[in-house]
Amino acid sequence: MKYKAMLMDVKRFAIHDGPGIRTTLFLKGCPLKCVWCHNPEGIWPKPQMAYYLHKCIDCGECVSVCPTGAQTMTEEGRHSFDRERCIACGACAEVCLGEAMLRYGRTVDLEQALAIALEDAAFYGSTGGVTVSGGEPLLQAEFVAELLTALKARGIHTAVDTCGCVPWEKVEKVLPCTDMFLYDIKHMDPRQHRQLTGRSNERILSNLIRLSELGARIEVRFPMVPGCNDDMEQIAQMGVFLSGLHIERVKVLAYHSMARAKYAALGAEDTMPRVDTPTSDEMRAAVEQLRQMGVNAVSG
Amino acid sequence: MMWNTFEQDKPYLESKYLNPTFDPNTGLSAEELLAGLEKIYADTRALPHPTVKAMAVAYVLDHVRINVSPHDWFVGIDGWRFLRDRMVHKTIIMKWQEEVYQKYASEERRRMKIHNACGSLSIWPDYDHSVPDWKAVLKLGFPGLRQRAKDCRERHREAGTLTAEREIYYDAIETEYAAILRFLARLQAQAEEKGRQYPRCAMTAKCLKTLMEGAPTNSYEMLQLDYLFFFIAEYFDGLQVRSFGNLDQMLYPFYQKDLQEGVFTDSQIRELVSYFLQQAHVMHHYWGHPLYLGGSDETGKTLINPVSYLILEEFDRMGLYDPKIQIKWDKALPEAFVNQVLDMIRRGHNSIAIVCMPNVIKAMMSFGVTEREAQECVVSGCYEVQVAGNSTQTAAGHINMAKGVEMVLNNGRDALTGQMIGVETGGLEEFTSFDAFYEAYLKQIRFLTQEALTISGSVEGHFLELNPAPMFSSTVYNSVQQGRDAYAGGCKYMFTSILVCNVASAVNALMAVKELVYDTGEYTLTQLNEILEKDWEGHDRLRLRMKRSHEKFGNHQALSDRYGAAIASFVANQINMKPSQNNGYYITSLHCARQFIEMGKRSAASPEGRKRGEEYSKNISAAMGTNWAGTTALIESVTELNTTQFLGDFPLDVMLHPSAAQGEEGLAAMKQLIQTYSDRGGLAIHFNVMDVEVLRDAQKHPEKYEDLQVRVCGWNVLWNNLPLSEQEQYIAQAQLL
Repeated sequence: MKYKAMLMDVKRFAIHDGPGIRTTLFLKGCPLKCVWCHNPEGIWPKPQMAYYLHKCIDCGECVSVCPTGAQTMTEEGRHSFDRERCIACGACAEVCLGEAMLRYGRTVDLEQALAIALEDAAFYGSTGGVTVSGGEPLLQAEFVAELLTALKARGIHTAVDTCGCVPWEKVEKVLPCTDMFLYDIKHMDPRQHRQLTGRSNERILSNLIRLSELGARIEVRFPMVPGCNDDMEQIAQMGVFLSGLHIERVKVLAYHSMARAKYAALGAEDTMPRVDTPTSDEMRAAVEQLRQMGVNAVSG
Repeated sequence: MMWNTFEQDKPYLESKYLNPTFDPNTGLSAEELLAGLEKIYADTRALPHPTVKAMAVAYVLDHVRINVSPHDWFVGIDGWRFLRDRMVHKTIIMKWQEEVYQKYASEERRRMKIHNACGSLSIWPDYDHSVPDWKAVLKLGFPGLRQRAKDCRERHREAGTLTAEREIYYDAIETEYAAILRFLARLQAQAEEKGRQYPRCAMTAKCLKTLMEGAPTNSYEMLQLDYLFFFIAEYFDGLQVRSFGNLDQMLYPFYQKDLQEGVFTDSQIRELVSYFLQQAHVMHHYWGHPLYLGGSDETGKTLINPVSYLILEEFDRMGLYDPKIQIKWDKALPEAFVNQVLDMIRRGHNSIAIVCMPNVIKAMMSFGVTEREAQECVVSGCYEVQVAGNSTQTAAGHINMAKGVEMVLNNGRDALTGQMIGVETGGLEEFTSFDAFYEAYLKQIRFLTQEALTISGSVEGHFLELNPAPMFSSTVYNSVQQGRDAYAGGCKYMFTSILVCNVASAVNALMAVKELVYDTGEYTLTQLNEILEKDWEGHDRLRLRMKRSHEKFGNHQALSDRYGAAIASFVANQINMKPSQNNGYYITSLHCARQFIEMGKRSAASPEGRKRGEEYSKNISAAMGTNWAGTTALIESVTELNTTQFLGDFPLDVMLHPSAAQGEEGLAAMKQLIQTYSDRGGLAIHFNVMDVEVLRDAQKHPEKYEDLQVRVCGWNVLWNNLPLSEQEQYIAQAQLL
């Protein structure tokens, strides 16, 4: 038990993060900063506080427990949160009556993470299991390897949901203990990729090729964001690239902007594109395009 | 035109019971019938009750208006608005109830009224959870059941064992069946007359003729008999028939024979089934009209057959929520059938309930039922099970487990009325530890349990006077052979169920006391009680804090799970296998029917943040809005209980967001959830698959959601018929998904 992890969140009864009923552990910290990111609380690698203003009932419970004076009440009896002073200790979230303050990020050791992962083991059956996601879980690859090895030793199916933008050594670390990779591809053009995510896609694609060559079980996920990566030429290029690899299937995921409130809550700049969710016809067209390239594509 | 007419006949079918038109020449008006029944009651005070009951039922059958319509395959019977309140019940049985209480149990009745008013217990005489022996009904038909009773009477006469009681018993059956056959003759005559003009009425006449003479010979006759027996027994005889039976098994032999002999085609039988299902739909009563599908034979082979699919498909196509369908779940169920059922549930058919047979069998056998009887058990009512054709089940009383905390805080008294409803457990200053408080809680619960057993038991031994059951008894061979009413010792198994309600709320209240008074020491019990007396007024912050306090049952936390299992077992241990006054045994149920609402209305604020009058937790599920850890944790929590102790019922309510049920993954996940629940010992489970956005929109635009239904407890209601407060509870729960 050498390593610890920065855990962002846990989802039990997850059915879209790999096969069967799963528990997904979201680790904090991501090398990308996708403009459409729906888990912006996963980007920063340290704990941070979210403040959901609409839930605040001005009860003031947070004021007395805040060690830095970040939480105050105005003379009019309204609550005020000074993010600059906040050290994300989470004391306010413990007492917040409206559940307006939420802390993202807590340190867990292997024993704690295992306990979380095993809680729903009775539901995994022959197909379900545990997925580690993020953020980018492979930024904490050493911990992930320990966790997944321990799970595999208990006969539990393991999956890693990765953006792939990590040194190959990180991927290599989890290879022996990962039954399945959920691997994001966001754009085929390196320049566009950099514009949309802050990083080029070269490492992502080369890691995917190596994974494929090694015979890993891979499901590619393509988040389709109108105006960003939904032009058919781009999708066709992706199809050509993926058809040359051993990919079990490609899941096309429809962009939605439901996470927008999180940006405000985190005090982060809202970068989410102001576009509609792709229509079912548009999704179907993307899936069809990929299928024409010989890829087993499905709509997620 | 006889076939492919369902849509054009629908207007008639929809109004058949709700807004009926009957020829006054066919019988008396409902008001006249009621007056006649009142007269029967007044004129027969000296006669034995089975005799009077049979006279009353015969009177209604002889005089109720009838209509055989060319728009329907099933006969029409007038007075629905009166019948649904069961007029024999209202005019005669309820008066007998009063008499029985006055004669045998006036003190118990006094206490019952106090408990019912305070929401500590909820008790009334119940006869409503039994199922006739459908096999006997189909094999013998009305004339055969009558003849079998006559034969048994004759055997007793020859053996010199025909006592006066037996004579009364057999006479009552004879009176009712003679009247049923006269009733069929009236219907048949009208059908024949209309049959000259309408071919369908001619078919109905032929069908009724067969039923007048014996057992059904084809699918149509079988369905007509099922409908007629159910209707007469449920609404005239006044004993709810808590199932149409295992319709797929009952219909299948007729279906096969009809196809082989060319009597009906598959599509014609399909159409007959849809008319049949429509009857239950338009008769709708809040408790619903159940039927069940599935099961396995003694070799473990599934009993699912083509008719099982046919019924599901018609039910699905028609978009009904009554009849409600229960599925006998085991590993032998064909995958295609499972997928069809789960797909219907996720599309909104949430009136379908799943009953996990491996655990039902285990639970039944632990109460002395044989393996074969358990395998062939009847699923009835909401999700209850019982031995087919040889058992009665009554739901005698409900215990409010959450009330025990209120009773300790008020030294045995009801907080709102000041009435003494428990035992004196001492002043609050005496509880110096949580264990001491908990012991006092158990004393109150022990007292309430004893009260429930005593009060319900005070009339259970007098069923023959309360509500004799000639029609039901005639189907039970054991009863007919002995010449003994089925409810008065005539069945092999007579189970009386005590329903243990509001367990999760009780645990949450105990945990709140532990936290506030004993763990943190922030408040004394006296201070806490003062806050509750004021319904949290001036303490909103504390109330919110307690509402979100994380030790809540249903989240698979060690402490609350332990207390949940402990208090449920504590009660079950006092109830199970205790001999009842009608020669049967008590069993325990964790089903609460509407009592989570009704008892909540009558109870004070409670420490977990619940305000005065708010509802409690439902069935064995988490309290509304407290299942933070989700569905898997809920299942893990509830299956920490010793489930086989709850033969009466053990139903779990699961709410899923549509995204958790969509696609192949969703279907697989639902399957795995049910299988894990079953593997961990769960008995019954049902789902509400809903999205908070849809529910909000349905509040704003009810006209767009006329078909939206939710499963309340053991039954479904239309969303638009729920009061706003109850709609809000569903939305609060859906918000956690």
